[in-house]
Amino acid sequence: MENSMLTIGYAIYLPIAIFLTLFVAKSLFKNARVFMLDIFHQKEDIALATNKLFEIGFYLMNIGFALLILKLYDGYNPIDSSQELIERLAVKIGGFSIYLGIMLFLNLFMFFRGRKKSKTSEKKIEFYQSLD
Amino acid sequence: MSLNTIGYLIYLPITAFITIVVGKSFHKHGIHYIKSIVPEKKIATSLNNLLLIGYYLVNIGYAFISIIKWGHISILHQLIEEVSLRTAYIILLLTLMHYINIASIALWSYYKNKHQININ
Repeated sequence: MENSMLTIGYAIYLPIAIFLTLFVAKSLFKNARVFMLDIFHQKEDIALATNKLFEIGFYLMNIGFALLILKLYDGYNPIDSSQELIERLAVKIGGFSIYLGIMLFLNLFMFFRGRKKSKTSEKKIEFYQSLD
Repeated sequence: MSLNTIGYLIYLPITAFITIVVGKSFHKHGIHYIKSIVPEKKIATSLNNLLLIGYYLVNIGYAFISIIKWGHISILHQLIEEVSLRTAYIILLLTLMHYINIASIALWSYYKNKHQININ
C-alpha cells in the first residue's frame, strides 16, 4: 500500500514539475528577446545566442533541482493514506513553484540590470565622441 | 534482470540524450561568442570543436563513474528515486559548467575590451 502510494506520488509530481519548468522558461525567454537585443545594441546574432544559452541554463538548473528534491519518503513517517500523499505533494509542488518564481524574478532583474548598463555605456560612447 | 540493471538502462539513454542535445546547442550558439573573442574564423571553428569534444569527454566520464555510487534497488519507487537523483546530479553539474563558461567568456571579453581601450 505504502509503496504504491509513493509510486503514484512520483507519477503525479514529475510531469507537473517538468511541464511547469518548460512553460515558465518558454514564456520568460520569448519575452527576453527584446531585452537581449537592447543589451547587445541590436546585434542580432549574439543577442539571440545569449538568449538561447540562458534558456538552456534555466532548463537545466530547474529540472535538475526538481529531480533533486523528488524524494517523498523521508524514512521516518510512512505515507499510508491518500490524504497524507496529497499533503506532501502539495508542499512539494508549492515549494517548487515558489522557487521557480524566485528564479524568474532573478532572471528578470538580471535583464533590467544589463539593459541599464548597456544604456550607460552607450551614453559614455556618445559623450567621448562629442569631445573629439 | 535486477532492478539495478533496469535503472542503468533507463539512466544511460537519458544522460546520453541530455549530453548530446545540450552539447549540440552550445556548439551551435557558442560560436558567436568565440568569434567575438577570436576574430580568425578558422581558429574560432576549431576551438569550438575542441571545446565540444572536451565537454563530451567530461560528461560521459562522469556519467559512467557515477554508476558505482548507486545503492541497491529492491522496489519500484526506489528505482524512480535513484534514477532521478543521479540524473539531477549530472544535470546540476552541467549547469555549473555552463554558467562557469558564460562567466569566463564574459570576463574574457571584458578584459579584452578594456585592454583595447587602454591602447587607444
